[in-house]
Amino acid sequence: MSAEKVAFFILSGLTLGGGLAILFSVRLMRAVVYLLVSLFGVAGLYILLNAEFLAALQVLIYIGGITILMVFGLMLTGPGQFVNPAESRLKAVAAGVSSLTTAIVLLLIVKKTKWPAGTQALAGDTTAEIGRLLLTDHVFAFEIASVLLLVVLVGVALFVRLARDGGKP
Amino acid sequence: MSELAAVLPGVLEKAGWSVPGGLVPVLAMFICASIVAAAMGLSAAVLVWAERKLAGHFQCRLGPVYVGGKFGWLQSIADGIKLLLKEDIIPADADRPLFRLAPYLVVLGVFLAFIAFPVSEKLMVADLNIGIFFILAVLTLEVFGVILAGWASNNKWALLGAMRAAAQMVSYEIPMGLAILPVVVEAQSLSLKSIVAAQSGGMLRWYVFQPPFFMGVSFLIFFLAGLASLKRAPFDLPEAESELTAGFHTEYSGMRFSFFFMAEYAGMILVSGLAAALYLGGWHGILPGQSGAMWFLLKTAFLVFVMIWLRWTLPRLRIDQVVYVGWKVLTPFVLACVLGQALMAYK
Repeated sequence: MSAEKVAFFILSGLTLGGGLAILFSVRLMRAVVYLLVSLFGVAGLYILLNAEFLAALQVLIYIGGITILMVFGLMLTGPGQFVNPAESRLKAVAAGVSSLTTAIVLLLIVKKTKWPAGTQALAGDTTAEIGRLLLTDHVFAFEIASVLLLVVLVGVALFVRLARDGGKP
Repeated sequence: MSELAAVLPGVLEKAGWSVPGGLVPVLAMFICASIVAAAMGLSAAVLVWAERKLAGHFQCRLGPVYVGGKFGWLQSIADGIKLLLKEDIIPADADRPLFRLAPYLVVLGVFLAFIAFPVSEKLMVADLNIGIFFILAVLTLEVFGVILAGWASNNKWALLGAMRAAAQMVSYEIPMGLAILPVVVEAQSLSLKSIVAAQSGGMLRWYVFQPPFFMGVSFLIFFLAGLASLKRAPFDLPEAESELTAGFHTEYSGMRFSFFFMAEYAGMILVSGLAAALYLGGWHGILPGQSGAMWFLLKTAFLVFVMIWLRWTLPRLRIDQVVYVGWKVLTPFVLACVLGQALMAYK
């Protein structure tokens, strides 16, 4: 087995194992830590695919941004168990049905999609290529994303101002 | 590292050891990792000594000026041994696995960042083509570790410290990341090797001295934001000992405590070294043609000295002042710098 294959299996093990651990953990804070493991596995897979820029983005945005936001929210809670599996049978059944449907739909999509495998060599500097594509071919999507973020920023500032001034705009 | 892997088979043959060819890169990785780890540990000891001595002289503290053998070097060693021997206490109500995990995450973040640390043209573990971006990305692990430490301790001071750390570090990541952009625009690369290589030819070619000083201003912003993300005074709110005991690491003792310490000192070297590489010409000397690891280390040491100097001179800010400075002062200024530099590049 080549070193690349070994790395692939370790990294996908991390990704999937982390995901399963999230599912089976009843403590939210630990679940976030497992999420960290899983996201790290994905970043490693990106590196294996020679997409270093994407890997760094994965770490910066998902680990540095999203998990930290989650932890920030959870910090206001205490340690211990938050999810009680035996709490409600109806909830468990509903969750089971909805996740089973999602899984089936996802599996069908994965099976139906023809995954195009590129045959040409990768461009040497993927970072420069991503930058060029973002600002030429995909500039519309890029701008929409920035406008969305701007709206969020202005909205949050407005809400804070409203709350401070006692509800009067 | 690739150079080490190329040289290694010959060295091993001379020593009379036979290593299968496939293991040579792995061995090279292990050697590089141990060098980085040893350098981190040693630099922490040296910097603790420097901090004590400088604090003693800045604030007329008599103790550090006299204590500890010739020049006080024994004190750091005694300190290290003390930390190794101390009992490792985990509070009864702490979340044990997370409490143990947090210091490792903090050290790991800084440790990974040293992979792309450019001491000289040859002396770097790996010249990643996303170099500086990679460093910013892995440093976020440190933030996660700090927050985790504060929460897992299950202690109100630790929690308050961690919340401050989260607010502060997340806010200052933005000016820090943006301050790098003018340099990246000018050098047209994220690789630290090519960024430094673009500044060869004497002091006037360093990015910090390039008129109209967009990069000069962003150097100051980078340094300040770096100071804040390291949680050093005047931004040491997360551990503010006069109000929070010791902030997020209140409950830590022994080796685990010293991991936070090590990460802080290694982080000081990291931020200073990055500032030196990005804005102060890295391994290039003052006059054209001079270069070498010595220059890089000198610049880094000077910036570390400035950090210590600031710590023992300035009083601590309030948390609202810290956040205010980050969002309403540094961020607009750095955005203006990015815009200006981009306009300069657009011809």
